[in-house]
Amino acid sequence: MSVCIIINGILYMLMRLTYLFIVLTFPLLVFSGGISSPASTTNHYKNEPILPIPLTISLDARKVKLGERLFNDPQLSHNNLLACSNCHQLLLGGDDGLARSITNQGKPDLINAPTVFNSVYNFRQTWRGAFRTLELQAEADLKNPRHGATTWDELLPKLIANVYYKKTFHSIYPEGITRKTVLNAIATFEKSLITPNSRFDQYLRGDESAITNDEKKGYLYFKQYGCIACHQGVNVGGNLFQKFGLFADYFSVRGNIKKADYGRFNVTGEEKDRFVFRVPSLRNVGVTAPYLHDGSLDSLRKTIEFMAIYQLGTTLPDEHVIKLELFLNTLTGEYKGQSLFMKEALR
Amino acid sequence: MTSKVKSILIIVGILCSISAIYFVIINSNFQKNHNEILYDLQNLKNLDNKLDKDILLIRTGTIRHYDYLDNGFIEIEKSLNKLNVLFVNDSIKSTNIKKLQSRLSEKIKSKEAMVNTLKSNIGVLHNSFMYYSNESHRLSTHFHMLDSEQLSNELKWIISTELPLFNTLIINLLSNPTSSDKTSFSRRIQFFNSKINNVKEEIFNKKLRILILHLEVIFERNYLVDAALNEISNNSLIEVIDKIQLDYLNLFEENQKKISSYQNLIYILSLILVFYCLKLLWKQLSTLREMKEIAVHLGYQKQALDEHAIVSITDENGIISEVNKHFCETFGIKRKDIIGQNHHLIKSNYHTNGFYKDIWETITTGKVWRGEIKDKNNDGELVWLDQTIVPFLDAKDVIYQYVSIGTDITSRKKIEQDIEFQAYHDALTELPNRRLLMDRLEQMSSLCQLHNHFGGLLFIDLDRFKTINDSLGHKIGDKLLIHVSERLSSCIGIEGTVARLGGDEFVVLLPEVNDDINSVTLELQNKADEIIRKIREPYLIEDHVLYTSASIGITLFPDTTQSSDCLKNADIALYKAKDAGRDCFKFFDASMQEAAEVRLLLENDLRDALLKNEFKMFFQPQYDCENTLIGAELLLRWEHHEKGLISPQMFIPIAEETGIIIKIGTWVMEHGFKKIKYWNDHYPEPSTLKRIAINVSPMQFMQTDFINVVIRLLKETEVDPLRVELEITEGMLFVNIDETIEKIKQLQSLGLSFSIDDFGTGYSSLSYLNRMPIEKLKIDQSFVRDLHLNNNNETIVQTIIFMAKNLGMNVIAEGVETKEELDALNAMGCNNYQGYYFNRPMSEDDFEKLLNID
Repeated sequence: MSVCIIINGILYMLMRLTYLFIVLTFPLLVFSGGISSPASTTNHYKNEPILPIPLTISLDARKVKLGERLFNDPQLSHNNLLACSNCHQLLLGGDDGLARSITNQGKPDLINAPTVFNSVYNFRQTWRGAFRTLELQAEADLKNPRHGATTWDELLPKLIANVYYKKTFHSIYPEGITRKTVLNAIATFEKSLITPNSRFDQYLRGDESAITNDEKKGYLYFKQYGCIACHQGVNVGGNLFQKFGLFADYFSVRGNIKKADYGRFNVTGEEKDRFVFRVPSLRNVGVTAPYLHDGSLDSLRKTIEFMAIYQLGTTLPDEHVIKLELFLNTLTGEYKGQSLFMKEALR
Repeated sequence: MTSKVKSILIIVGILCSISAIYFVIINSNFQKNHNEILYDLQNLKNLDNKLDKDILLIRTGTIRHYDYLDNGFIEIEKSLNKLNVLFVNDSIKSTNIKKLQSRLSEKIKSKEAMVNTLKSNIGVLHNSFMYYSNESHRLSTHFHMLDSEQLSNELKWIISTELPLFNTLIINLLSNPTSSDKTSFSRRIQFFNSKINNVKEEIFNKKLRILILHLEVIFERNYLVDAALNEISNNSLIEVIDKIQLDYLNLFEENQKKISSYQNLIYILSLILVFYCLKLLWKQLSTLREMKEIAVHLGYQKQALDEHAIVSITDENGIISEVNKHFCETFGIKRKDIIGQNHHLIKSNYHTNGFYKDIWETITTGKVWRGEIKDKNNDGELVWLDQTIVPFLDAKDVIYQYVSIGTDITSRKKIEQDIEFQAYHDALTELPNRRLLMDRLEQMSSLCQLHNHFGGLLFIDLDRFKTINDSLGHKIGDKLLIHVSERLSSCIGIEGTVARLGGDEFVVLLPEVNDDINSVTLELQNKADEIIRKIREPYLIEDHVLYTSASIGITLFPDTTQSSDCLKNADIALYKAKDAGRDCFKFFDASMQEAAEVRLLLENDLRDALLKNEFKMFFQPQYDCENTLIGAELLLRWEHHEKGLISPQMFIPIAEETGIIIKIGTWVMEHGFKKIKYWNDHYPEPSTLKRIAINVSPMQFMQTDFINVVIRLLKETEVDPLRVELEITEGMLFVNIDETIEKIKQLQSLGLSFSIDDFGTGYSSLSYLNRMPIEKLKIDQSFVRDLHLNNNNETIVQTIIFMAKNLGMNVIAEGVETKEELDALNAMGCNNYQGYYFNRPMSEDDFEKLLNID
């Protein structure tokens, strides 16, 4: 009993002291570096609206490896036929080279598959910008009836039954195979899918000879025509929403308007977002044909001309278009040290 | 203070301690949380600030990409989520704060939407701005390259004035949005537009129209950008964050107050408990001190106890767990040898099992046992202990140990025994003294009275002892007395008591001698004879050969009520003996004295009776059921020359005692055989007459030369052995079974036949009877008497007959006196009889007549 009382007393004293300490040190904590905002990244590159892709990205290699396996595993779909990599082929610029991907039913999908490369630098995923994170995007596609068409109740037991997954997940994540860890692994892998060291990035890093004069000219036109107003930043786009068809109504020209054409409207339901899409990244644009959300254009030059008409309200001289195309091709980067390329046949 | 209150206090104390620990933990968490919340709120503000800054930088064109903006939102969202978690951790339930939180989330969302709108608008704005500035420049360059003469004035004006003007206007519009005259910009566009219609050059017209389109976009989007910025600035997050902070701090302060009041309460309670504990501790300490003192005192007491007493401690089963030094010394046992054993190791055989059972029953019921126990030590010496055994009970009233404390009282006991012995014994001879004698006499009297027996008291006085004493001295006299006492003791054995009354007077007490006064008299007489003989033998004392004799006065008890009278009577008898010339005994009772004298006379006369031919043979005829004479039993009569006919009951015991019976037996056999031979030769005996039965006394039968005597007599008399039957008694058969059987068989081989007399009265072992080569059983007359009226006798007789028939023996009933008895016996299957119903025993001559008749 007396011991209890003594402990009681000591604890009480400790409590008092702790309180005193906190009261005295709190202002220091608040107004010292402890609470200051993170230091902003300084730019060592050319003062351009486009930023180079970092050469490396720091990630847990085990998670990347695991994520890669998941990414390539058709088990992640209900019918065990469709893996992420079906539509996002890393050898083909991170997409499938089709105007519209093929669904699990073997039918054309509603929309063109965007590249998975550099998706980590997009502020939202998908054309309509529905998902802030790669995890949410991955989960949505797993559940999407046209894509994975699976559920967690179906998927997790499948993964748990797999010895490799069970072992690997447990070695990385204490909680083992769960919704969170599966998505984390996939997203971590996807984050690793960056394509640095494009010739343009080399130029941005100060190598004047990395791109030709014509390509430089193309970049100048890119800026002069105001393309740069939307296609900027690390991903040369992918960080804002913009209405498709500022100067002309593409959809009435094209006709056959479908729900997928409404773009961001499908997410927000606001009228001002009708036909608004996430500005796509122009990284590796040279190897990710066909173009536009509906995959209606199969060449880059056509797309440049198309964009001039609908987003600039004008036509560009051919010479400018050629130079712009030359410039855009300098944005093709490397994955695992290999420059990306487009499937010849599809070209 | 009751234990209930104490336990409540202890529980309160423990609860206080737990709650104190709880509060410390909670408080530190709380403080940590509080810290983090404040940090997070500040961080939110900073992030918002930075976002605003970035927006401004983008608006002003300092930053030409949007990469950071979204990061700002991500970080804000993270920070907000963290804040939510912290609030949940802090269990803040203020609805106000929750409302503010959701308002903040909404604000962030709407800000994000605004920023997205802003971004697209700035994008479009910049796009058009860049297009305009480049295209207008390109157009003017193109214009200057052409021949100015061919161009319209309107175009010239537009190129030279309007396009540069718009450049200025745009810069004004973008750089100074508030002060710019928007309406004038709009009007200017309309004016520009109207001018273009006049431009005839188609290429320029088309390009200028596109430029106007872009100007309109610039105007429109600039307005939208300004509006969005305005909206963003009007919807500052900081305001809400500050409100949350304020609300939270208020709440925190309230909580702090609550906590500190709880803390104070616990502190006060703790203080009270500390004081209480100190009090308890003080009390404990003083108790401890007292206990120490007590322990010291107890130590002294233990030391003293160990010095004085023999202490052993056992468990509940009596297994010794501890003994003190004194114990080991007393019993000569090492401590290690006795521990784990029980008290059997030191148990003597002195006490009965019941004694130990009593002890055990007492102490197992939780009672203290006190008493004296005789134990033995390791050398087998007996040790008397005055013992106290105390059982100890535990809290559940179950005995868990016994402590036994004892003192060695062996020497005291010895002294006590000595004193007791001396009190009851004569110091010189160690024989019981008068006191003990009187005790025993009293006991024996009552015993004899109870059993209806008689005992004898012999008062012995040495003759002329005074002379020895006087002449040879007291020392020799005392030694003689000791010798005498030893001889007396050896005579009497352990049954009786030899006591010395003092001087040369001894008393011998013989207990429960017999129930028959005659037998008692006889036995006492014999005993007295033996004593007199023994005393008469010479004594060798210190080179002197001494002779003495004893005079004895005998009395029986209980013949008078007062036992002291008994001794007095014996004394009187003793004087009679002295008067009769010493070295003899006298009975106090006159009739007894007379009987004794008669006996003596008879004994003397018995020796002469054979010589004087005073014995006469009588015959008791035996019949079968058809009243045919089948034999007779030879009976002896003594016709005393003075006293007439003396019954065999009188003289046979004397004859047996004196051994004359053997001579008498031989005489009977000789004369019996002769008579049988004579009748056999001279009388036409009926064929039915088979044998004449002659009684053989046990003593005669047991003589080693009995067979030889019989053989000699058979030869001398030349009697036919087939005519002779020897009657023996039951008792004789079982003295020495094998030898007896052998003797009977030898005699049977000569043709003699055997029957058992008085069958049923002795202690016949029926299991041996079948081994006996006996031809006939004689059912004792006591069973035959009123046989038909007595079921018990009837059963016995029936059994005897049944058994005899099974063993192939004949049966004859003696003492048949009535017709009823005869009929009953006949009905049972007994076919031979003798008794007064047929004839009284008859003389030789009368029996001869009977033979003649037949």
